[in-house]
Amino acid sequence: MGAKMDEKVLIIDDDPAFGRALSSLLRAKGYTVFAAMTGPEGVSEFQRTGSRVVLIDLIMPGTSGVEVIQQIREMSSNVVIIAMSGAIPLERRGAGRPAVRAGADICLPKPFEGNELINLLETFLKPPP
Amino acid sequence: MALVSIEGRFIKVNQSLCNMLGYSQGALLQIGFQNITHPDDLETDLGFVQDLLQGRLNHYDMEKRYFHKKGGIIWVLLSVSLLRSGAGDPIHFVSQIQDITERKKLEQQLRQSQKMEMLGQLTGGIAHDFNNLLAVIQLNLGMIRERLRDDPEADEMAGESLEAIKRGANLTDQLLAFARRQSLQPEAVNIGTLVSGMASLLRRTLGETINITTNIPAGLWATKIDPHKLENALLNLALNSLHAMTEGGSVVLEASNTVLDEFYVAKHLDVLPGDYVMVTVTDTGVGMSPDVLERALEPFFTTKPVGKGSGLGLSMVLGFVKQSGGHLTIDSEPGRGVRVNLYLPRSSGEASHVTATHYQEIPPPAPGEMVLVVEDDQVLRGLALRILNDLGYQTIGAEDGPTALTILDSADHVDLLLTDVVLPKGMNGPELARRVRSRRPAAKVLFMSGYPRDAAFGDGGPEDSAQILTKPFSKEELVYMVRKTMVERNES
Ligand SMILES: Nc1ncnc2c1ncn2[C@@H]1O[C@H](COP(=O)(O)OP(=O)(O)OP(=O)(O)O)[C@@H](O)[C@H]1O
Ligand SMILES: [Mg+2]
Repeated sequence: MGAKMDEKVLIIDDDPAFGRALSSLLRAKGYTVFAAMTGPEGVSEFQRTGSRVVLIDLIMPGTSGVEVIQQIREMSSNVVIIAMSGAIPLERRGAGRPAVRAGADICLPKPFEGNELINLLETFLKPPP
Repeated sequence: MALVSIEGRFIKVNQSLCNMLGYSQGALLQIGFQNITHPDDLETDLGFVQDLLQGRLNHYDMEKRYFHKKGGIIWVLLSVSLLRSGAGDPIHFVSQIQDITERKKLEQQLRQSQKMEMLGQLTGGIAHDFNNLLAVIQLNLGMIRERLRDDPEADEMAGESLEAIKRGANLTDQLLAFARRQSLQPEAVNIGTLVSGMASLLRRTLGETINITTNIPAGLWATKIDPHKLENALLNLALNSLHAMTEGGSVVLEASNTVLDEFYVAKHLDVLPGDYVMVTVTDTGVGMSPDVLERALEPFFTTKPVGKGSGLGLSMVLGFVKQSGGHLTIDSEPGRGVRVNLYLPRSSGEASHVTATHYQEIPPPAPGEMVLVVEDDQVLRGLALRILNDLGYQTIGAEDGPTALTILDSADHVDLLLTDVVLPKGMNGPELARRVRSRRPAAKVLFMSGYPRDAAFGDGGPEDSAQILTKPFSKEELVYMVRKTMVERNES
């Protein structure tokens, strides 16, 4: 249902278990999935694969998710960027807004239900009729 | 200042010392300083006295505590020297005594607030890690469940585990609440109605041993606050009162208009002067000792037996009130019950109340200012268009991003893009905004967001709402945000 065989999704998350779970979910829905565990790796994977969607964790050791979002957004204005976060993180103001300012399309709090993400992707990717 | 005999009796005292300690001159001259010195400071003080008498010191300064006649502690800075006769025999002490209670209280508050800040960071960090674990479990379990759909028993087990994950996520929400990072949905709330409603709910649930009364005057100011979180806060306070009154007692829920002025603010940390609606919960329970009172707001601080209290109740209430731009105080003495005051900031919600606030400083639309409203919900779009029109803006509506861009290309100017975040036809709000900005760099952007849990922009706290309107919103909020966005300088 709603499978999009051609859509490439890149997951950038330092937690391998979460990355695997997310890949299985997306593959089962027909997406082609790539994964990276650090920001720099994510940026080069994005260049290599030309993914349509990037799912990126905001808090990863050694990288600022917000910066990675900015870099990817500079490379493409069409890519759908979904930031994920287990907390609105450590600075008081929260990372949600910085993430969106940097170019993310939306910020999804962890944990979330698989269907929530799938629905969101379908809304964002719905082709113009 | 005072003259004190070698034995410690006051021989001569001035009026300001009498006022400070609550005694008449006559009464003070009947007693020795030892009788009104805090026991924890007495030994140090007496040690210094010996140093003076034996000539090891000519003078000493110390910070110490006296008891006020009516109870309560007075912190003073004491400077003492010894007057000796020509032959060198001690005659009496000369003491300068300066009240430093306010300063001490502020220092104490500062220490406490630094500690709370640190605990907030810690708790926020734990919540984050925990949520990441839950995220893995939830995704996998959801998929396992789909595969086991034909096995009803397995399906049920998976269902219960998923429920447990939601409970876990609720717990981390409480931690985030203390860390002031929950997502709030503030609305214009009639505090009086809300508090009375809570009172009748509590009457039904707290049983017959507790007598619940309310005191709610007419004419309470408008506030803008998350009503469910406020109810939850009151419930938490009431449960604490219940636990403190095992023999029964009474709880009073009150609300009143309060102005916190510069003087108040000077004596309390983290408060802004201004108008507040104060909601107070008072009980006649066992009360708190000073030690408990000092720590009551800390997360995980509880005096209840293991399994009975998590120590998160008051922390959550504090986090919520702070995140809402408010202020919280607790008064208590052992045996006298507890009184918790929540100060909720008055809002400029209703037009009629908008008098001296910053609302007025925002100028009305300049002639010909054009707003492009992009919203797929026809009703909402129509409403926004009408309100803005009434205000004097020129308006155009579009139901999706591509249509909006077409309009943009043919319009000769657009000053503000007011757009929903989630939009159909493959172009969402943020993307539309980027495209609009690249074509019309001067255009301002204001988002409307109704995403569940309001995750669209992360933290939904008031300070972050600068360019985001959270749905549902009132007419006043729309007007206010539109004007505010229009007068903001371009982000560079
Ligand atoms: N109304 C009250 N009367 C007396 N003591 C109180 C009152 N409210 C709070 N306290 C004291 O403050 C402590 C902390 O309260 P708090 O609500 O944060 O946690 P808790 O009630 O112990 O646990 P939880 O609310 O998580 O179930 C309590 O354990 C109690 O010692
Ligand atoms: Mg409690």
